[in-house]
Amino acid sequence: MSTQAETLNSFLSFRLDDELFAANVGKVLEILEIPKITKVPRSPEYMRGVVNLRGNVLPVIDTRTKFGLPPTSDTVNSCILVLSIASAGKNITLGAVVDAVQEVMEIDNSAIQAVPSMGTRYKSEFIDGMVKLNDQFIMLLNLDLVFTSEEVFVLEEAAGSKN
Amino acid sequence: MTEKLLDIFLGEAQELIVEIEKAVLLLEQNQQDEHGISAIFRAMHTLKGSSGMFGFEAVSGITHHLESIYQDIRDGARAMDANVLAITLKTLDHLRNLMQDPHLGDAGVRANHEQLLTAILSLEDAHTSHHTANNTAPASANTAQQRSYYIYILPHPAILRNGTNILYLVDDLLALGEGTALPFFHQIPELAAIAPDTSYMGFEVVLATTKKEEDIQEVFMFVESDCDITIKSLADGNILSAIGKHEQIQNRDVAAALGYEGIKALAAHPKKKISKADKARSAGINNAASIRVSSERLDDLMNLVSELVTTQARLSLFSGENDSTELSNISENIEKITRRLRDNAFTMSLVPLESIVVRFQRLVSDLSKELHKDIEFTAVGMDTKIDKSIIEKLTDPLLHILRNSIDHGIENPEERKRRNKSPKGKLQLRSYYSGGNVIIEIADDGAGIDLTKVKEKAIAKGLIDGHAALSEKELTDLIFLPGFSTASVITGVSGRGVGMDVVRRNVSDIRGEIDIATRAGEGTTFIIKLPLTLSILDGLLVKIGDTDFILPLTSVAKCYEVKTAALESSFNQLIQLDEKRLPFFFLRNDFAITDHKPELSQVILVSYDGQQVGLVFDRIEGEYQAVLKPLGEFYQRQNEFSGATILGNGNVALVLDPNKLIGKLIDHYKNQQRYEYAG
Amino acid sequence: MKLTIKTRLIFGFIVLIALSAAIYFLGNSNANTLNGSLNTIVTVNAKRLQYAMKIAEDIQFITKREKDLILTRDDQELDEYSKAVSDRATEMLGRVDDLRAISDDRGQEIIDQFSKNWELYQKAYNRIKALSLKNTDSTSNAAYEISRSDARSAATEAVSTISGIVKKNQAAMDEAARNADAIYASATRNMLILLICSIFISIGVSVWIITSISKSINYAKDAIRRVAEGDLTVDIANTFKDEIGDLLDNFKVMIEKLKEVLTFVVTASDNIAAASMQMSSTSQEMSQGTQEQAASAEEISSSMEQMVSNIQQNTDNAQQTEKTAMKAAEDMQEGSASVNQTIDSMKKIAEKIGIIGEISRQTNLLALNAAVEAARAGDHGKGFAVVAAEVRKLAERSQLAAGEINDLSRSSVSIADKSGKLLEQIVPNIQNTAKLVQEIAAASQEQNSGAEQVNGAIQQFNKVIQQNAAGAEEIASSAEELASQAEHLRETISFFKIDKHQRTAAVKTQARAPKRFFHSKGSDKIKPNGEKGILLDLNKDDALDADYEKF
Repeated sequence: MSTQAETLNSFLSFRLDDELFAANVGKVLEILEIPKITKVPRSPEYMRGVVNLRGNVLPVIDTRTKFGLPPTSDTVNSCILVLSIASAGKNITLGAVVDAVQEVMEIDNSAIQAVPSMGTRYKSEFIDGMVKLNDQFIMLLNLDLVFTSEEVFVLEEAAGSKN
Repeated sequence: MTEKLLDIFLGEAQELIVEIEKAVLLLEQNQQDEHGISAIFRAMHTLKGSSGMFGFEAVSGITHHLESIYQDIRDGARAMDANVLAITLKTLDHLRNLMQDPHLGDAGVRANHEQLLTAILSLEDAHTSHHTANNTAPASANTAQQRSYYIYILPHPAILRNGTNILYLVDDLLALGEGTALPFFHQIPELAAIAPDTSYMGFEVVLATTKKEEDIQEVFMFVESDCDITIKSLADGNILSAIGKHEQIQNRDVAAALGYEGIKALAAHPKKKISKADKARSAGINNAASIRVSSERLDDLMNLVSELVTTQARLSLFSGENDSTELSNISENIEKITRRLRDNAFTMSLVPLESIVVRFQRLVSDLSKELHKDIEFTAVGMDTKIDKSIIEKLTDPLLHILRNSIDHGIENPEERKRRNKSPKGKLQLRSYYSGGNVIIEIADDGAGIDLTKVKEKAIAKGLIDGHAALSEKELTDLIFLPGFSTASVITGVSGRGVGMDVVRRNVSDIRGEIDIATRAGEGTTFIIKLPLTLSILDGLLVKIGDTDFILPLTSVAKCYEVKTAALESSFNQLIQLDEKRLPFFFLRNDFAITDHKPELSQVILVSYDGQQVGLVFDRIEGEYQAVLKPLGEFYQRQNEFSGATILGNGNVALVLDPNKLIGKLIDHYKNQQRYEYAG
Repeated sequence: MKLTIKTRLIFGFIVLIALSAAIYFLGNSNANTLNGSLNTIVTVNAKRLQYAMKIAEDIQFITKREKDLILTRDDQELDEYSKAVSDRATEMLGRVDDLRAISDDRGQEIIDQFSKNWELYQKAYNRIKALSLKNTDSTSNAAYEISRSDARSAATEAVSTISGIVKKNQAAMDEAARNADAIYASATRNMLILLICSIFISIGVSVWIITSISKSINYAKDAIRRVAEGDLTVDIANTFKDEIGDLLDNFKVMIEKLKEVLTFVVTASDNIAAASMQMSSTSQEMSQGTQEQAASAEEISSSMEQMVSNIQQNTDNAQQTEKTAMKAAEDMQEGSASVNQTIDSMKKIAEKIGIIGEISRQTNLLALNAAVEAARAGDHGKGFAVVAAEVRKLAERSQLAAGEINDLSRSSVSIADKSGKLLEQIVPNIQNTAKLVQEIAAASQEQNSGAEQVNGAIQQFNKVIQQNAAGAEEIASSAEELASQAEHLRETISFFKIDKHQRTAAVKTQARAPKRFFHSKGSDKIKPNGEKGILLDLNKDDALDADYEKF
């Protein structure tokens, strides 16, 4: 985690399928409605394509696919989170399609629980912690890792055996 | 705050160092060049001042001493000599290091610093009042006998038919002194009626010369019957500067001559203005109306401008849809302004090649000394401007080629003498515009590349088959293969074979092409063809389904319209076009685009590896000047797309790199076939 | 052989003609004979006579000149005389030849004699002449001598021969005159005898013819006169074999035929009288029927009119209904349009709400962005973060509200849509009804016109009936007229006597019958056989007769 993000304990929560996730606002540049996305042929499936972000080309990742969730079509609530993530010492700007953005919330460090190594369908190294809010767990994502890693986010065997 | 200022200072310091370097190299040719001396002095002075301000004590100290030496030279207190220049050059190298390490943290740097300082001090001391009054008279002495003439030349329309070149007349005229030629059109007809062998042109020349009127008339000796010629005296002295700056001259209408009276009136009136301008001019080169802008901000500007261009395109689209005169007026106006803004912004990011030439001159002078070769390096057309980012990436390959030319190309003086060549080798860097491209050539008159040797070596290295009959071009192209060097001795400079392949890669990275023209015993010329800018690409906007693509125009050979069904049914991926069977790629399939399949498809032929390959698109929208944007790290593997661009409607179009695309597709199909055979 | 009047007349005339011819032939033959002798006299004898006398004259002339020739001394005269002599001699010789041509044998002989004589004279003359030409006294004397001798004798001889001819012919002519007298006398006598005979014969024949014709004609005249008097009973006993007999035969046939015709006419007129009476009664009946018919037609017509007015009423009602239905349909359509407009408006509202929703969504997004921005600003952004959160909440709420409104408007849209659809469904039904009613109206209109046509037809019919009644009256009167005409005919025919019984009775019975019918007005039935009067049966025993005794 970068120094900047550490100082911030504000998180932006968003929804994917039924699950809630949160991203540190230090990584979030802005939230966009989904414009026309130009698919880049012959690119990985989780790459939705590129969009025009005020004259710049922004690569967009389909977070659902990246997270191993079944694909759905976009709704009015679908958004693109413009994220700035660190990759090999550089900051990369990218867009991540999420089902809905919830809110910005402050989370006290003390409220953050550690991720149990078992019992979750996601790989623990991608998740910084968990917060319970209104009887629902929110996963605090390690965005740098999630979006730079080539690995699939979900534990395939675990997911497979569980379901 | 201070950091920003520091950045600005560092940038400025770099430029000043380059400027001094340039002047020193000039002085090496002509030690008496006053201009150069005063330029060095001024630059030293500025550098001293600003480095002091930013706490670069070492810099300010060393420059202070050098400055005083140059002050003496300028004032004629001491003579210029090679020693001073050599020390100056050394100091410049040192200064570069100092910029990174201002507080002499590095021991080597410190040692160097001490050494230089003593050298300079000793220079300063060694001579106290060694005076040589080599005061040359100021330029005003020349102008004393000068006189300004007005010369009106109107060639008869048929003059071109007897082979007279009017421009030679003008050149001859201008050779008589200092002058300016103002061409004008005379009775130019409609475009359709223009006859190519008819002259519609005349010249007015304002000539300031010491020669007499008869001398001027002599120029027209042979053409008096073919031209209307008037020669009139305008005034005593040189009035060119008065006229040249005049607005009316700058914005004059070329459709008509100004006439003697007109010119005279111009020369007579705006004297105050001119003197002001002159003053401003004489105040110094550095004070010229230019400001320093960080390249980052320039990039920002470029981005904003391209965004504006995109938005403007949308506006004009919208105004086209909505029939409102006022709106379309506004839109057109904005379009005009935007275009100018864009052009301006682009030219802002263009830098003359001059800025890197100094480094080359240094390299040549250093290397020739090291290798004991006598080389005359000339640079022509260095005012050719090219994109900053290209220049940055160009430096290394150019240095490499220069090194190669000096090391392997140009022979020793003895050898040159043996070969009946002047002992002084010639190395020339040329640059010029060619269409939308910039051509940079590095030509030496050395030994040239021995192609038989190249072949032998290639065979020895197993790069080619011994029986392969290769054309000259193919042979020269071998040089660009990795690990290839024909030099028998590996010097510290070159010959290790890690070079030309990198050169080629670097050049192609900036969408350039490199070529070699060589003749054994006579020399080698490296020709680099570069785009003006990396950020703008002339392309063909094409579509497959809803996806827009840009195909670089340079790679497009020809377009055809073919029935989609015919393409789909072609099982061997060959199509008959113009009685040739050509391979093609039905990109729809390769790109997995399934929507809106058209009845007719467009086959665009591009050249790949010496042959033509068809790429199939749905339709061709037209030419499009694309502002190239990188696709980003996530698409690193999709390097068949060299980037993307934002279209007028806000959509993103992908810019194709046909060579890489075809290469990839061929690999893909080969793998597939392998699988198929295996399966 | 049938001796017809024609043959008789022919015979008579032939007799008369034969007689006349006999008279003619007799007369003619006598005249011919007379004529023959006259001709001989004129053509032969008289001519001969004439020639002879001429010749004698010529000789006379020649001798004279002979003398002159001798006498004269003038040469010129000599020539003149000689020439005259020769000319005359030639003339005379011609005449002699002519005479010879018409002379009989005797005459010939005489002429030959004359010729000899003449030759003698000629010789003499020639001598004279020759002498005369010498014209000397001697010669003249010689000549004279000759003349007196030879010449004179020769000339005299010649003249006497020629006079013989004259004499001979004069005698022949006398002879002929005597013959003629005799012929004339016998002819006159014969003629007279013949005339008397023919007169007698003619009278006899005429008497025979006249008597034979007048007898039969008189018979025929009597018969015709009787027929002319109307008596067709005349019996012709034809005994004549001539044309009159034929005439009488034919006349007899004619009378028979006439009798037949008259008998037929009498029976026919009887029949006509009977028929006309029957017709009269029939037409009477017809007239009555027609009256009745006319009355019924009148009745039909009035009911028809009633019907027409009913139909008219129907039509009017149907039309009214149709209009009402149309109006209803229109209203319905308007209603449907209003509903559609309502739907449109609602849709627009939904749209606008959608925009509001969109705006609040975007506001939400903006607020989120602001929140992110605020969070990134750390402590500095705290206050702003609160505001952003508030804005976001508001945006969320408005989004929610917008969603609710949207739902509501959507549901109202669906309701309105439904009612609109219902209305739209009703409209065609009403339109259908209107159409049906329209059809009814049209049908009753048609009916109306049909009824009117029927009414018209009945009126026409009524008129025809009236005309019929009039016709029947006319027929009745015509029948009466016919009956009287028949009576008249019978009366006229009674002029002819055909036979003596049954004739008058038949005519009289029928003639008076029609008049009685007319006044009875069909109450009494009339027997067509036309028995007259009251049938009395005197032989029946009844109460009245009981008082009387039978004789």
